[in-house]
Amino acid sequence: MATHLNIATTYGVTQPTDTELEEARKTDSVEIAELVGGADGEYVKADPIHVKKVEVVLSGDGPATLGDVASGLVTPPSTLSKTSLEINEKPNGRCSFSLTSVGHEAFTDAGGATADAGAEPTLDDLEITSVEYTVGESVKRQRQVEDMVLVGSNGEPAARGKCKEKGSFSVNGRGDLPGGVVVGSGGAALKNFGDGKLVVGTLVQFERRADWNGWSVDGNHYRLAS
Amino acid sequence: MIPQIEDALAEFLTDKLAAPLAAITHLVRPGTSLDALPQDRIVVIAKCGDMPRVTVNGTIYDAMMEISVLTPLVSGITKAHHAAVVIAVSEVFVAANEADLSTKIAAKLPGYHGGGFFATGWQPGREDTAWLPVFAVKVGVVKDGI
Repeated sequence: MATHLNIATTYGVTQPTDTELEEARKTDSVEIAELVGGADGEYVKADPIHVKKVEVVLSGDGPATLGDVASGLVTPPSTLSKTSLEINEKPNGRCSFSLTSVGHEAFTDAGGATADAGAEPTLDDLEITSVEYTVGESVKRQRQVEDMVLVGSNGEPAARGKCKEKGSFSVNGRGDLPGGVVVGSGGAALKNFGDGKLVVGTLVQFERRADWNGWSVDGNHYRLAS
Repeated sequence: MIPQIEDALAEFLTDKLAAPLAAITHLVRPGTSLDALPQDRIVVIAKCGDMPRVTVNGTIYDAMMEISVLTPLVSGITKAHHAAVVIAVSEVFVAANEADLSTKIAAKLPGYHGGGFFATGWQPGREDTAWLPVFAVKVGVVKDGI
């Protein structure tokens, strides 16, 4: 699907009748199983688990049917089934709704290689440089360690160390999802996130009324993991 | 860039208004046209009021189009004619016509194509529109390859 205004898909969920959509949003997410090594207290393993949650939220103007949200078995588990519905009303305004549908799919990590990309930004740059996606809107990269202090008997710091180094990132863009951006290992490419292991934990795609379609991807970088 | 978008929209409107306004003498022209304004027919003007970049590198633009309907006070042209043109303009911007406008933009502005549109409806007139209400439409313009 090309870069476009307005809503062209509802990601497999049927729009309630007699409604006008404001936004359709799909979120794919996997949890990441992390393992800290005993020798140096660093992340040595990081892998997505075998369940991917798919959540689709449709919101807009008009009513939806509360009775559509009900208990019961869902077969197969991957079926997008309605789990939440909110309807709001106010004077001098149309009622609005927000309908959430969720599915749980078996997930097999594609095992993509972590890749370096782009360049570090400089003071002169008035653009995004650390990723090479064509329609990037914003990029946030972070690296942090856990700061551990041992307090002595006298109440003063006696020892200190840093461990569990972990990077995280968040990239937002407009238009179609770029090729190679997927949930799981190697699902994105950023500058200085090319060694070790990069895992995309959350991938969002959205379409909005009177606005461009877009996407966002969030995940972690484990520089010392394999 | 703006003249090309206005030309594309004017051609698009010319095509789409031909059938519903077959019995009403009218002309569609872009806002940047230098031709004299005819005084013997209803004129639909397609003007670009603003065209901000959505992305820093210019791969996506929002062309904020304003469409005016000028009806001269001459014998033979009635209020009903004006109303018919206004309604016809309002009804052009439906999802089914997005592809046609995209094609027109691609033809007038090589390297780009239309990304759809969203009509916000009739907006209050301003001095630069001769105080006529304008039909506001946000037209998406996308660089090819995005």
